[in-house]
Order: sequence, then structure tokens, then C-alpha cells
Amino acid sequence: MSLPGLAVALTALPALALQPPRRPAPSEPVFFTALERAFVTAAVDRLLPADELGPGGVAAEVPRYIDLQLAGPWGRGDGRYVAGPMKDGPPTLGDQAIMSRATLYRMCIAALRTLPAGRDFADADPTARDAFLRSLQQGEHEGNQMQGKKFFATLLEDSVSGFMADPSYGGNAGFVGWKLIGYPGVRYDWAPYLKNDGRALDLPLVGTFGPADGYGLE
Amino acid sequence: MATRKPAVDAVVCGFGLTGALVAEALTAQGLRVVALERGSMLRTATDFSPAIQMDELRFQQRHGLMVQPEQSTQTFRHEASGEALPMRDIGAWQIGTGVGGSAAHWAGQAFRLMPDEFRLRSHMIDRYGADIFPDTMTSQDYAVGYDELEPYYDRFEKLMGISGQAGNLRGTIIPGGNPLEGWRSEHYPNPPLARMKSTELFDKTAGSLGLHPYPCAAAHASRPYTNPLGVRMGRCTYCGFCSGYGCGNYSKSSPQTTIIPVVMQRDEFELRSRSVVTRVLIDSAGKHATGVEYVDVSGKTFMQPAEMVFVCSFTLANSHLLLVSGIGSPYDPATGQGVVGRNYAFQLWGAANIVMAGPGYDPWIGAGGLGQIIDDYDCDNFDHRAVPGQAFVGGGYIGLFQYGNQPIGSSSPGVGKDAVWGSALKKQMTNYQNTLQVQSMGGNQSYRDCYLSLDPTYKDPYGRPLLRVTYDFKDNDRRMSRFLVDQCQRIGEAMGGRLLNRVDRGGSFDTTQFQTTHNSGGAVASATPDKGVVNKFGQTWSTPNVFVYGASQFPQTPGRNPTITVGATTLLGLDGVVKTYIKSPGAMVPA
Repeated sequence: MSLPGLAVALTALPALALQPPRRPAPSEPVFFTALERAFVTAAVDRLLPADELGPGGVAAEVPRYIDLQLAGPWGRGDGRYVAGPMKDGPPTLGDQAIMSRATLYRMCIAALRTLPAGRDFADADPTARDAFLRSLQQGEHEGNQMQGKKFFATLLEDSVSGFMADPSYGGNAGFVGWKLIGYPGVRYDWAPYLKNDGRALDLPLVGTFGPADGYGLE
Repeated sequence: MATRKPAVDAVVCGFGLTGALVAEALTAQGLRVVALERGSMLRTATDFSPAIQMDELRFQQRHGLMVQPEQSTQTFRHEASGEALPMRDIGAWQIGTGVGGSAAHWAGQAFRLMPDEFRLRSHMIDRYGADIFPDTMTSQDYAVGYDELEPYYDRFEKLMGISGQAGNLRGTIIPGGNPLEGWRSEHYPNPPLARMKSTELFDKTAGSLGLHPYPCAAAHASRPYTNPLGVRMGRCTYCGFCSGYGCGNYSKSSPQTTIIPVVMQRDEFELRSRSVVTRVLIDSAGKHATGVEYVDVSGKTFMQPAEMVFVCSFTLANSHLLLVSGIGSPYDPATGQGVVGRNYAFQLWGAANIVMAGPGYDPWIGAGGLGQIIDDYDCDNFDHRAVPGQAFVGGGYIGLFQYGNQPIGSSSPGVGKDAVWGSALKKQMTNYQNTLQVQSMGGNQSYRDCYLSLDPTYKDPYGRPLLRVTYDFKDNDRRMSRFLVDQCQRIGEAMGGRLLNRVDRGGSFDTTQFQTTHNSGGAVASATPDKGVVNKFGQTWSTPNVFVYGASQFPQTPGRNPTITVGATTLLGLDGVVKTYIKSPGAMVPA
């Protein structure tokens, strides 16, 4: 059976449609303002620092991952149940607020970006940033538009996701997160390796969309 | 005004596992069947391709195959006097949507229940006396026994291509299998999955402790397999993307890989996806269903007339549809009267996480059912009064699974004030290759004040009240959870591991922390109409042309995963429908 129509249709498609997804090029933030991006970068730098174990969250481009996520359905909170009435309950009944993740970042960064000493968090030294993040986690910045504990937990969760998610989401650049833990990537058939018992694998690291150069910048 | 569709013999509400079984059984008899499914059509080739599914963020972390709360959720409260609030995010359980339902994204642990489980109340009273049951505990015997169900277990395992090792073949104990299991008429259709270093270690250690380890029966084909319907499955590749994902390799047993390809080709069958059944329609006498009302993706309302109505949604949605349709009497915890929503139970999953001295476990490799198990602490295989003053009803399997651990889920920093961050978090992440988990699937008893009802305040997108869950862990079950996790820890330390942390259910139920999706009850199958909604054939006592299938039939939650028993009880019910009901419609069990 010949399918001339199909052949014509395929050659007529723009080349782009046949390419695997490419890593988004670095650019201006999509959601964050420059100030917000600086705050998040400064925080990620402490939540997942570069250290003797290797590169950290900034080298993995976690801030860009968070920016892209907040610009989309995850940031908007699509899919949540948001019907009223709105009431507070115990934490075990879950988050009852209808504020989106994107709004939480925007509101909390505005409320928290200036440290008590008057300096901007993004410009503070690592020790001062650590101290401030710890005070957020311990609940010392609550009320008056500030939800320090929730914001800290959100930042930390998103940082880990960005460090460890497939690089097509914009973080885990160069597979930095996966290299740290020795995750060898996404492979369709591990059956030949069932008796590998932890020996080093002579295999290139691959993500959902292929090897590292599959995520290369245009 | 609803548009009236041409009448059919049967309408199926929900096209997951039980709905697919209904459609297959009835179309094989030449009956015309329409299935209405809330979610989308999902096909292995186009929706479950490895290049789509092997994406932890999208599917496991962001619940790509699950129903979103804005479409369907529940309200929750811990006690009947409290005010329920909506579960606004996916949390404690993850319920699938789309064709295949939760049987498309399940892990694939394919357990039968043990014979004692079916007569839990009678057996425990015989052995320990009635005192072991607190007054408020409403756990009861199943409507069927193991011997009666065995042929249907066997049929279902062959349909699904289950991989496992028989331990008790018609009374003969087979080395390498589970010596404590109920008798089996035949071997599993496929041999067990491969073992790995982690499961070998568990096997050796448990054996040395005098326990009885065996390979978990798995819903992943260990070799190429063709099921009795002629549907072919491919050998599992141990890619590690099972729980939370659709299988792109035709290896994990699901409606897509075992039943649907056949049913879709039958002229008697029609699937309408993205169609939400809003209520079952009952005649004015209240004893006979005339069909269902549903809303399609464009928002139009239709009426589908049918001679038989099959309620085949997930456990929670089954009770919801019965309650909003006025089928059966709603349960009232104050009087103990009524049946719809009664005996709702969850599960008390627990674990001991242990750190081994070195790496070597290749945690990225695996399959959802690849594990070694012991049943020494389930059913009556142990003394429930072993710990003085701490007697309990219940139990569960204990095992070690090599699921395929993905990087985000393996890197959790913890929660709240104790969450780890900075270099300490990176160091903790590097335990990825030497952390093992010994887990327990603790059962859950039913209680007078744990039940499902309609919420007085919160509504779904169709204007119906949300389902309200009233539930908390009870002391009996907390004791069970602690006992099981003690055993997990003992085995894990004997394996040479250092305890990292324990997960046991000592406190109150937390809707935000994923535990399992194993919800039970609400539309219980019972021997008499005062103790449940349906008879053993899944036929409602109140409305004989309405049938309800799923774990909603379980009178309490067993100490293992439900799916194989869901399949077997559905096949038993359908056998009755085909042999008896369609020839002579009416109540199949006298009330």
C-alpha cells in the first residue's frame, strides 16, 4: 500500500516539528522580575550550595526552572479545588488557601526581600542569607502578608524538583543533580543490568529526550 | 433538557478495570453495552510511550494520570462532630482518571487475600474470643469465601498475565513460594520476576530469622505472554516507571494491555469518554433504575436508558454516585442504621528506611511488583496477643520492593522545621544508592464512626455535594502499625542496615501526605441487606438492576493490595449476572 499523501504531509512539515524538544534558551525571566529572580537565585544558592560534593542549584539553573514553572499551570495552581467557602483548618486537612504558587512567591519576595538590617537579601553574604532562611523555616516571619514557613517550604520543594527533574524543564542543567546521586538517567530497558550490583555503568547519561547534547542550547 | 440516547442493555459508569471486565463479559453474550468514562481515551501506543511517560516530574510528582481536585475531590474530617474541609490538592491518595482508571497507573502488586481474611470476624472470635473486638469496630466477614472465589482468582490472574511462584498447589507446598498462602488450583501464568541484590538480601535475612519469604506476585509479564482473550503482553524491561505511570511496553497488566483491545472491536460496545455520569435514574417506585444521566465534554446533558446499570468507578466515587442518586439507605453513625457509606476504611502503610554500609543496589532498576514478601504477620499467622496488653485485630504483609526509585522522590528534604537543606541536604541525597526500605501494608479495620456521606456545604462542578469522608486512625490500628514497623525495623537491622527513620501511623490521619490509594468499603458486599449495599454478585439489595463493583465491596481493608481481589470478585459477580440475571432479571440472593 502506498501512502503518497502521508509522504507529502511529512515533507511539508516544518523541520522544527520533527526535532526533539530543546532546552529553553537562557533569556529574560518569563515570570520573575529582575529583583525576584535575584532573590530566588540568592536563596537557591544557599538551599543547594556549590560545595565539595559538586555544583549547586544555581549551576543547575534551578532559578530558571522555578521561573518557567511559575509562568505555567503549576504556578497558576490549575487543577486545585478552589470553591468556597474558605475556612482555616488544622494542617492535616491541607492547604485551604486559594492563593496560587506564583502569587505566594510574588507576595513573599516583596514582603521579605529586605533583611531586618536594611540590606537586600540578594546582596547579603552567605552567612546572613543562611541565618535569614533559617529564621523563615523556624516561623519567625509570619503575618502581615508574610507566610515565611510556607514560602520556605515551597522554595525548598521547588529547588529540589528543579535540581532533580528532567533537564527539559530548565533545571538539572548538565545533569548536575543526577550526577550528584549517581542516577544514570532514563532508560527503557534495564533487563541486561539486573545483576549489575552497583558496578559503574559504561553508559552515557540520558534524560527523557536523550543524551546531554539533546538538551543543548540552540 | 437532557437529550435521550437510544436504549441499550447495559450502561457502565467508569471505564477502568471493573468497567472493562463488565463490558467484556456482557458483550461476549451479545448484549449492547455503552461505557461512560469521565476522563480521556488513553492508549498504550500514543499516550503511554516511554518518551512520554518516563518523566517523573509530570507523572509521579505532578500526578499526570490522576483526577484533579477541581474535577473530583472529597471533604474530610477526623470525627463526626467536626466540620469537614475540602481536600484542595492531591494528597493522601492518588485516584486515576481516563480509560484504565487507577489500574493504568497502579504499581502492580498482585496479591490474593488469604482464606482467613474472608471470615475475619468469625475467625478472630473463634481464636481469641469476642473481647478482641472493640465495641466500635464494625469489621465483618466477606460475602464470599476463599474456596468459592478461587476459580475467579485463577481466571483473573490468567487474564492479567500475573508473574509469580505458587506456594500451595491444591494443598501441596511448593518450595520457593508462599507456604502460608491459600490453596491454588493452578500455577501462575508466568514465572516470577527477576530478583535483585536488595530482594535477595531480604530473602536471605528473613529466612534466617525463621520467617517465610517468597516473591511478590507481580502484574508485569516476566516473559512474552498471550492471555485467554488473545491479547499479547511484552516482557517487562525493569525500567522502573510503574507506580504513577502508564506502561509503554505492554508489560504491566492494565485494562489497556489485557481487555480493552478486544472489547473495542466488538460491535455491541461503545465507549464515550469525557462523559461524566451525574446520577443513576430511578423509577418512581424507587426499585428499578431506568438508566443514567451524564454530561459530555461540551457541557450537554444526556439520558442513557439501560436495562442494567453498572457502577464501576473508584471506591469513593461508587459511594458518591449511589448517595447522589438515592440508591440504598445512607448510613447513619448515630443509629448504626443504613448501609451506603458504611464501613469505609483506608490502610496503614508503614516502613523502616535503612541505610546500608555501601552502594550496590542500582535503585533506578525495578518494577512495581518486584519484591520479596513475608506473610508471617498477616491474618492469623501470628499471635495477635504477642505483645502483652497490646492485642489488636489486623496485620499486613512485610516486604522489600525494588520499584525503581526516581531522583526527585528519592531526594525529599523532609517537612517543616526539621527539613534539611544546604550541604547537609546534598549529602543526604547521596544516600540514594544505599538506602533500602522494608515496608508493611497494614490493613485497617472498620469502625462505627468512620464512614462516607454527602457534604452539606461544598459542591462539585455539576452542582452535586462533594463526598464527605469521616475518618481517623484508631488505637487498635495504631498498635498494629507500630507492631508491623517494629518487625520491619528488626528485619532491616538484621540485613546489616542502620535505621534512618520509621514511618508508622501513631498520630492522626494526614490528608496531605501520600500513603496508599487503597480505600475500601462504602458499598460493602454482605450476606444480608442490613450489613451492606450489594450481595456477593455485586447486585444492590435495594435496586436489583444496579450493580456496584470494586474495593467498595470490601468490609474492611486487608493487609495487602486490593486489585486482584477486586478483579476476582467482579468476575464472580459477572458469572452470576451472565448465568442467572440476564435470563431471569431479579434479586439473585433472597433478602
